[in-house]
Amino acid sequence: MINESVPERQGAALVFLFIIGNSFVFGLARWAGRDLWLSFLVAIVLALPLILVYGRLDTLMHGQSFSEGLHRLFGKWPSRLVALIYSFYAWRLGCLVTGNITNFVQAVSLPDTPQVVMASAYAILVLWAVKEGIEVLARFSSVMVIFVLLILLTALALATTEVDLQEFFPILYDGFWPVFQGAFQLLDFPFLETVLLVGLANALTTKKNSAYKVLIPGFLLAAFFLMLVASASVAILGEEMYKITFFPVFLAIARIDIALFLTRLEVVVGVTFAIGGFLKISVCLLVASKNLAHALGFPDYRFLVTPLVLSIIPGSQWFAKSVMEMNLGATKIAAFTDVMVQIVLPMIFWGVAEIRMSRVRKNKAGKPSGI
Amino acid sequence: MKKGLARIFLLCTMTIVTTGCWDYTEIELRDLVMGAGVDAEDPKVIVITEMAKSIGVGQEAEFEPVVLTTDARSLTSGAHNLANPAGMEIFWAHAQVFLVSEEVARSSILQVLEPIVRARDLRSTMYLLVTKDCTVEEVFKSKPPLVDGVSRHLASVIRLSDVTTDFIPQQVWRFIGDLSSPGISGTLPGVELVHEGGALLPVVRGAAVFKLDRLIGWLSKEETQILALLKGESEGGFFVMDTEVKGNTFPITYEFRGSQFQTKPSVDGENLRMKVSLSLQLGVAGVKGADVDFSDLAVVNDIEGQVSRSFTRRIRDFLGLIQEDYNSDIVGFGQLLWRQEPAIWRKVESDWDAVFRDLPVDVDVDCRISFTGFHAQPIKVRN
Amino acid sequence: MLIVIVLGYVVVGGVELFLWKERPWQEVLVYLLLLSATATFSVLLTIDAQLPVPEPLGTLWNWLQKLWQ
Repeated sequence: MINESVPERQGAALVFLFIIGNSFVFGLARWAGRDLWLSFLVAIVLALPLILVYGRLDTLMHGQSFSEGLHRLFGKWPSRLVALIYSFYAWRLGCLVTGNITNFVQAVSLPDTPQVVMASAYAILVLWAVKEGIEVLARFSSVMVIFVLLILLTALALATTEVDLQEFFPILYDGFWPVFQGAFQLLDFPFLETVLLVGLANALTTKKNSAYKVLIPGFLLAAFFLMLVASASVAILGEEMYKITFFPVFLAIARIDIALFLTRLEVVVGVTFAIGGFLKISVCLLVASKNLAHALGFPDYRFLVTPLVLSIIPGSQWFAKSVMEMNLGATKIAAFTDVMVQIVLPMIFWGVAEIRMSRVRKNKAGKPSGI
Repeated sequence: MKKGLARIFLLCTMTIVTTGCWDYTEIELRDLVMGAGVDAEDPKVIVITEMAKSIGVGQEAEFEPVVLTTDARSLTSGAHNLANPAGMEIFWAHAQVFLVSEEVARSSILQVLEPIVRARDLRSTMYLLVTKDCTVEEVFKSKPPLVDGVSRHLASVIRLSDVTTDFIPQQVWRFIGDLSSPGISGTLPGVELVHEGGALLPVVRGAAVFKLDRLIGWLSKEETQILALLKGESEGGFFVMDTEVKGNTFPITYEFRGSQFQTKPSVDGENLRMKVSLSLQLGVAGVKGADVDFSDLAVVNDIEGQVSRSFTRRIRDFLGLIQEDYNSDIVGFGQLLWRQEPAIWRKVESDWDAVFRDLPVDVDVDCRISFTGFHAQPIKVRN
Repeated sequence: MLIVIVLGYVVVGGVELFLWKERPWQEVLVYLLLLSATATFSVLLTIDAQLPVPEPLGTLWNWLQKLWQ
């Protein structure tokens, strides 16, 4: 196994871009309507413990390659099963994100281009990136994160003239339930998709405990940034419009009109979406290949990349067959599969891992060294 | 290294932002729609577009407006049918105004709004207008005096809303917002044709009052002025009021220089009241021969009082009109209640029409003359 | 169309295998299996764009819901 390591700052940038990736164009937490900022806060509070668990899992595997770590924590065959499940989950997510991008591009600017063409173009880029590995992806995100932030924050700053804070009132008129619905949707997508990054454990943790320093800042920044984007969209569009449109941010930015001169800036939203989406697909496919390699018992993952990446081209057309289905999938409240993979399984792993690790530690302490 | 990176960023940004490209259809193959509209002819609709036909190339290129008309079952199908007479792909993203005939607006404006919101290439920043006493086609076929094309004319008139309160411009998104949020009804500016030197000119003034998605009546230019004040949209404009000075009545022209407006719901047991307070800063633009000295505080106070009383009366009349005659909450009292007193709104929500009809409103107007041009006294004429 | 797709996968697979420095038979076998699975997937989806997505966990969930009632 080639030793890979990524500085903490680049790691955090990767986490940030991974969460922002494809999610910011959707009507996140639209169930909560004008109270969506509350949904974001609730979701952040609920997600943090789980992110800490992911970080703990990373730390437990510290210093070992991913497959070694898994092997040591769970034993040979269970670890392979776990790897297979996560490989499949990562692949599915990669397909969904690709589908998002192709659908978005088709809905917004290239209605006559078949989606397969877009998907293929993306697949080639992703193929390259995944073969280069996590280090290149992290460096890519540390550069692109500036670009994405610059574009979106500038666009939002220009849109402040359109913001109407009255849109947030009255607060909690429909009670707390919609807020929770919104929060669960946010947990499901995109917050807890970070679970995939556990698969990149050893690369993201150069020092002991640095998993927290990568995951927590990346996650918090991304969450607050998404909250800002979504709240600004509501304040610009109004609650009703935010709820019914597929791509609220796009519409909100389209409203910008600075003295009849600076208009039609929504194109830049597409650019950031393309960048973030690319990173997310790459990370998904990287995790999918690595896990699959472990499940099949190979030390290197690179030879698996080509077939896996090529399969997202049909896969992107498979999971969501239209823009409506895609939107429904992205903004559903919770799916059984996601709950299993994002919450239940990690908790079980964590419990098992802690018990096994404490046994290992006890054994070490019990045996005098040198015998 | 950092400098180089910054340069690359800048170049990338420029290539993306400044191309002016929309998508990859050749510009020669498409026709730009400047403005469009819908007339009704039951059961069909008539879709009218004004396109820009380009003459000449390069620096000398000019646009000549061409009006095309087609009838169809729906707005969308009509819009697509137009490609055939136009002979080119129709490009909607630059449409600035959208006109709806009164007949269409009376039956339901949703049939027009819905396709606009759904279409990816129509922008929600278009201006919506309703034609009064004329069809959309007549408006588009009229000849504006200075600008080529009715759409451009209307768009530039709308941009004058900073200096006039004869109408309140409404972009598509804002009107939809008014339709879909609770406790407020929408209004749209009206377009009329007026005779001017033998030609018909389109003029924007007044407002069409909606209840739900249907047009139910009109506001005159003066009533629209009050509506603009009550919605806090008044930024400028003039009005003439008969003012009594030293026992004689003169039509003095005033200018709006600023206005602060506040509505507060007050609840006393079961009784709901609205308190409207308006403070106006006025300028004097012309006195028409009145012998009035604005450096005399007593005179100024007297005039301010007269203007305040006049506005109080006008606001009361206006509220009477919308509360009783139209029973349509275009000022948004309900919305205010919903935002500020959600508990009370919950009680009256289902019954808002009736509550609004009988809602007592206290009006309090405070006028200040803050500017009298370059001189305080009229020009003295002596023998 | 189908032939083009299959041909595409064959070409990609051939070229990539040619570029490998060493070819352990296990890796080659897995690679070829996966690639042919992907090709089959593409072909199936080309034939029927509405190919249903299997939901093993979804079925489990439905079954649990039924049990609950």
